[in-house]
Amino acid sequence: MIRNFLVKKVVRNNNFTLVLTLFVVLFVFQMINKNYLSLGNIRNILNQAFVMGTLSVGIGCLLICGKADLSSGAIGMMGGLIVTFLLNWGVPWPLAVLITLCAGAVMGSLNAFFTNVLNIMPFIATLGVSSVIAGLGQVFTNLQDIPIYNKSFWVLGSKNFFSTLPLPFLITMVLLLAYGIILKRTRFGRQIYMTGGNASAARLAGINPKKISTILYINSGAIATIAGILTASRMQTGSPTAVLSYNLDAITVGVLGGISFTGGTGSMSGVFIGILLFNSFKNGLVIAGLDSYYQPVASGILLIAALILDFYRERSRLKALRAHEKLG
Amino acid sequence: MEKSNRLKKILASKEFSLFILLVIVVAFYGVASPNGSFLKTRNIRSILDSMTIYTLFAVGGGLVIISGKIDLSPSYVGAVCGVLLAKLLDQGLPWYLVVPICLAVGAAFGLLNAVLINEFNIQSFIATLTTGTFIAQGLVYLIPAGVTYQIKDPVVIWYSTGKIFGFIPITMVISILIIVIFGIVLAKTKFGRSVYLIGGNANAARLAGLKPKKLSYIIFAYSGALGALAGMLYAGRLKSGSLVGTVSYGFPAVTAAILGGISLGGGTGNMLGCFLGLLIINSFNNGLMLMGLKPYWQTVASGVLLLIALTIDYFSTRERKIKLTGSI
Repeated sequence: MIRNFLVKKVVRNNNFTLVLTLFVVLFVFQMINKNYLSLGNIRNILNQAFVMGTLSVGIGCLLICGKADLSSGAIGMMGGLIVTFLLNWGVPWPLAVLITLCAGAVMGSLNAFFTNVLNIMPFIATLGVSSVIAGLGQVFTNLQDIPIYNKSFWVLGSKNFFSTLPLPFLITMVLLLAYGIILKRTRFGRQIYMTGGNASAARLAGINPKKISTILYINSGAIATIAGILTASRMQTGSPTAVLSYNLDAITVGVLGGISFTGGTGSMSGVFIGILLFNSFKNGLVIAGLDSYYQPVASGILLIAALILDFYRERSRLKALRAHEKLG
Repeated sequence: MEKSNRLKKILASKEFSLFILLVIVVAFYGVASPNGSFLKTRNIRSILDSMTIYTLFAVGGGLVIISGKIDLSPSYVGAVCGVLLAKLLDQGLPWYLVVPICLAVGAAFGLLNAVLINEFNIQSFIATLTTGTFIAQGLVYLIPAGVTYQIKDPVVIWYSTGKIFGFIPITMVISILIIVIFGIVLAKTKFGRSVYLIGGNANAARLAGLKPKKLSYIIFAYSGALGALAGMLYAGRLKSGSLVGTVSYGFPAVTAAILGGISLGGGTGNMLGCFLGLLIINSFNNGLMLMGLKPYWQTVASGVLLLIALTIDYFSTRERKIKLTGSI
């Protein structure tokens, strides 16, 4: 009886479908090209995954809270530039990283200002902030990449464990785990879910929704700079075009992983599987020999599929809630 | 008595304050630009000329925003239709077939957006961003597949680069005709009033017997088709299908519409304000260039202008709300 219940619970779990899809994707591409699951290619996949993976931690928390962030990519890019400038001025790398994180928090607080103080739609406000930051990045660098000469900093992006697990992706996993625990096990985490599920109910329960989203925007800014720092370290350059394009990908993996666009649902474990699924799929297309032009189209179709899935998931959730209310 | 009331109304209107803002921008650059080159006839014509593409995007984008949604895809759709135009013409199809085909492709993109938004409840922002930055952007590379097609069709070149009386560009006439027609449609027809009504309150509109879904399909189709038209004019001007195309035009066009008083909440704004917004932004950017600033600053400026426009929008919406309800 109990075992039956457990099986049901596992099968009904959103992540179950995701894991199943992931296995199908892995199986199909492995059939097409048997180098797909080689150690070298797995390392490739993880190395492509860490930027969007890191961004998706901050963005995921905001999405659960019912907000959106389109500036993470730009903040990450700027973080990479800031750390580059600091290192080239001779600042030791731990200090440079710390200062960059603080700068990211400041940039994140800009989003909080526009969305919470001026009540501007998060999407468009963060898009505006993103444009300003991206533009400043171009102005500072003249659209040129800047090499980093601090060799001890390079280790951050180039170290591998067991020759398959790159350090940047390990950091992404640690962040996912830490925020997964915060979301599920702490008071603050539950407040995030409540704010995203129903902001006015949260307010009536004594939660300050604006305070929560302010913290999360600042947090997302800081996390975005981690992605920027790791990218800069891996490329050994600060680039005004890096990270920018990963913003939408990060949203995609969040939604793919079961975070509802309307807020209030989703988990970091789902995001983790979403990251693996998205990147295995993208890498698989290349491995299968498809023209790289197909990549944006494929990613778009994947995102639309995730959004449509989200629609049906949300509808069945509401149906279940209503049925539950009738019983009660 | 009545006359003074009317004057008061004009002085208090949003369009009047936009006009003042425009005068300030023009006066500033008139004095600050080297040798007063800003106010030379040639420069004024080049400002108006550079506005044509933005105008088409702003009309379609503005229409969607008034209806309470947002459309970020037209600039990408424009890029698709630009390369499509060049390729189809190159394959020997006559212009009177190619132009309608491209317009239909643009409208089809609009319909795709409308399906995602209306049938699957996806937020318009993310749905249009996906179709734009992933699907349309991917097609921009896939359609020409590495070849740059030159446009040699005399008719297409004539309407894209020709000048009436050797002075007024035909594209300028087209864009002004379009903004005037849509201005009249919005202000004077049943369709126009329905657009305002569904933007102001979709539920009330449904209760009043309108069909918000059906209207939304029509509005998005218009937006897509206008994007296609802009892309075709742009390609015609360059005499080739450019891979970059009109992509960078979408963001400033939306900014102009918002600056012109088309509120993001939907239900307010008009094409006159939108036109003034376009004039302000284009004068502003043109002036920046004349002052010898790097072009990268334009990205920063467009973000700053968007945030300013949103802030103004916030305060004016609040005022309207206070007037309507007597409280915030």
